[in-house]
Amino acid sequence: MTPPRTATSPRRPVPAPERPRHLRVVRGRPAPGRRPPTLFIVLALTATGMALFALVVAQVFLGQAAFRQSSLENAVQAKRLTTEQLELEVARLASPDRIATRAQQMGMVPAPGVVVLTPPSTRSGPSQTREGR
Amino acid sequence: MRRRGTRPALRLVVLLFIFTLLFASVAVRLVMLQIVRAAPLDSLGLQQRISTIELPAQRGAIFDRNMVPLAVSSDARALYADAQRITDPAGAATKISPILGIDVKTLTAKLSQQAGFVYLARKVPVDVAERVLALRIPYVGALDETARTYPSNDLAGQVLGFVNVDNVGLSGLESMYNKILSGTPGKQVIEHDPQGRAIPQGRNSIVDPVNGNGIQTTIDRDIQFYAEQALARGARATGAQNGTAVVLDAKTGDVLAMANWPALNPNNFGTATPAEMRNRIVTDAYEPGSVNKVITASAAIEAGIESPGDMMTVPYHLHVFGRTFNDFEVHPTWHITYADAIAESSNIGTIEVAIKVGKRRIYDMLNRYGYGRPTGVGFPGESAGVTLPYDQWYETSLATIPIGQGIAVTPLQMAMVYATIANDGVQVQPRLVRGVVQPDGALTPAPPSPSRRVVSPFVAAQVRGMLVGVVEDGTGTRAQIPGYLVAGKTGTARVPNLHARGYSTNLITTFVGLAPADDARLVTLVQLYNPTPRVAAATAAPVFKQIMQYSLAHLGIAPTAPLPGGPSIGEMRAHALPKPKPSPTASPSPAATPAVLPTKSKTPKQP
Repeated sequence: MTPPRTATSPRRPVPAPERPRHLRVVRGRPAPGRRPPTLFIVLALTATGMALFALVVAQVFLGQAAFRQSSLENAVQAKRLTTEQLELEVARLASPDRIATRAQQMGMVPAPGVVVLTPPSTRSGPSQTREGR
Repeated sequence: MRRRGTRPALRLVVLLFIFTLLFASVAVRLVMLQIVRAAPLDSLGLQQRISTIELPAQRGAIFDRNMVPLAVSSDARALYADAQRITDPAGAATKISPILGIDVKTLTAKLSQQAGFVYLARKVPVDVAERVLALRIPYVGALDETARTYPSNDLAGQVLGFVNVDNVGLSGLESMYNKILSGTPGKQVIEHDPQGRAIPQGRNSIVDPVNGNGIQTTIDRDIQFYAEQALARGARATGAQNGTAVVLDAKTGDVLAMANWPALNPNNFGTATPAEMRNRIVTDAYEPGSVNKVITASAAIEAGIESPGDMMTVPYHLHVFGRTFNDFEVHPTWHITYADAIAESSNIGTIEVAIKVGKRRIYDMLNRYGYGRPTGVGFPGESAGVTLPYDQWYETSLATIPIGQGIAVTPLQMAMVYATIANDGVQVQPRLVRGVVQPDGALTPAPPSPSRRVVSPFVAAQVRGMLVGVVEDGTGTRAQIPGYLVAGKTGTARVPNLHARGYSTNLITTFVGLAPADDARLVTLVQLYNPTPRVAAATAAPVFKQIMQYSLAHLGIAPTAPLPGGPSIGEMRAHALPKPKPSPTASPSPAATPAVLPTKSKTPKQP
């Protein structure tokens, strides 16, 4: 209990009772055995950076592959189209009507009918062969 | 001192109430949007940002029997415009017109329409479409599609048929095999922003189209072309209004050529008349005339009533069933063989035999040869012909039907009759398709055509022999082919009057024949409508000769040339058959069939 204040005895500060402190200021070097956080941060940042870089590189490669695939698909499509057009052109050029017209323009005339030749039957028996010939 | 209305508790309660109300309304709205109307709103959202584009399947090609393409599909573009958004239709039309070859006025009219989507041109070649797109005219775009092309133009036009703008077969083989040819279209589902640009990470799925299968026909392109050329020459030379020709392989039933004149170009079918679009060989039945006399001959020989060498008296006139019939040309009464009567195409001789044979046998023989029903070739619009049921035969039918009047057949049906005679009495169902060609080029062959026996080999050989006589020294001498023994028959028939009873002045001439007659493989029929002169011998027979001669050479079929030391063709012809009288019920065994063809008796015609 606090004593009553009097005129003769000026009031003196009474120190507060000592309370356990949870926080304290640390001065000087950290305690031995604890790693400095800077290194950790640098390492973490480096790892993150490398991971990001790897990710970007992978994305770039994937993108390149996609572009190449797209380009190849376009090339295949173009070649297919060209093949189709060439086949159609060949079919048109090979049509009998066109060939006949072109041949007539070149002065050709239709061939006469097939002539059947009958070999004369000069021999009635089997043909004779000579050995050694 | 406390002011009125400032009680904190009350304020808090009011505030709590207001916020509760607000949150409750939000919650109710959320429930409405997320639960009650979730499905329709979800689909509405999808509709706004998801587009499904149909990826057209390429239509399968049609090939000839040697895998020469007759109809092919190729990539093309459909050019369209959002006409409502185009601010300068005339300017856009002026730029596009020279590339597409469409006049500016037409394009301006299309681009001025108050429509969101307008086709500018369909089936545009890809390179042409690219040139239009390179103009970068806003709201002008292109869609993928395929175009059908017939590289040989009017070759077999009526047989191949044609497709509409959506590549659906409308006629001919294109229609007949539409399911096989058309394939299954694919689709691409794509998510896009309000401007129509694809969202890179959005939904994008593709179901590839399955291209259609091709078909390999039995048509031989070269024979088809030659038949068309010969038919056109013959028709022009005789002034015929139209004509048809068909070439069959009697042993397999393969149709090697089906020619119609005037021809049809399927690339431009819009300009053809409906009559020009028909494949008249299967769609049009006609009264065949004297080519029908083989039916009576088959029935008479099979029944043992008449043989080729039997003598008969043939006057010019014959009055039967209350009507007078006569031969084509005036002649004195002949005493000739039945083979001679056929060679001279005597109506009276045939009627005399028919009366002996009787209605029932002739009717049965018509049925057995396939009259009155489709041939089985399966072509769209095939006619079954017109054959009166037996109980509806007129009394005069016994005189008219044997000479090919009062009955109607298609040219293909008639060719099948002669193919049966060529094939020793076995009729093989005709076919137009040899197999289905898979997209990878593999061929799945069609099963062989079914066949059935119609007459015995003996009857077929006897009739064939009579037909050789027609070509050797009868009405069909202009069908002779050097080196080959040819059998055939002429026929000239009047055309029924469509608007009244009786017949018109129009007529149809036919020649149908087979070669080589000693080992017949090919059958050709030629038909001309209203030619001049008005006889088959001078009009259809020469065309037959040209087509048959070319076909024999093209297919490498050996001539009927005698071997050295063997009998000559003349000796073979002169080797007249005795007159066997087969039993009406039992056909002779194949061994009894003569190795050498029967020929016409040399008995001269007697006045």
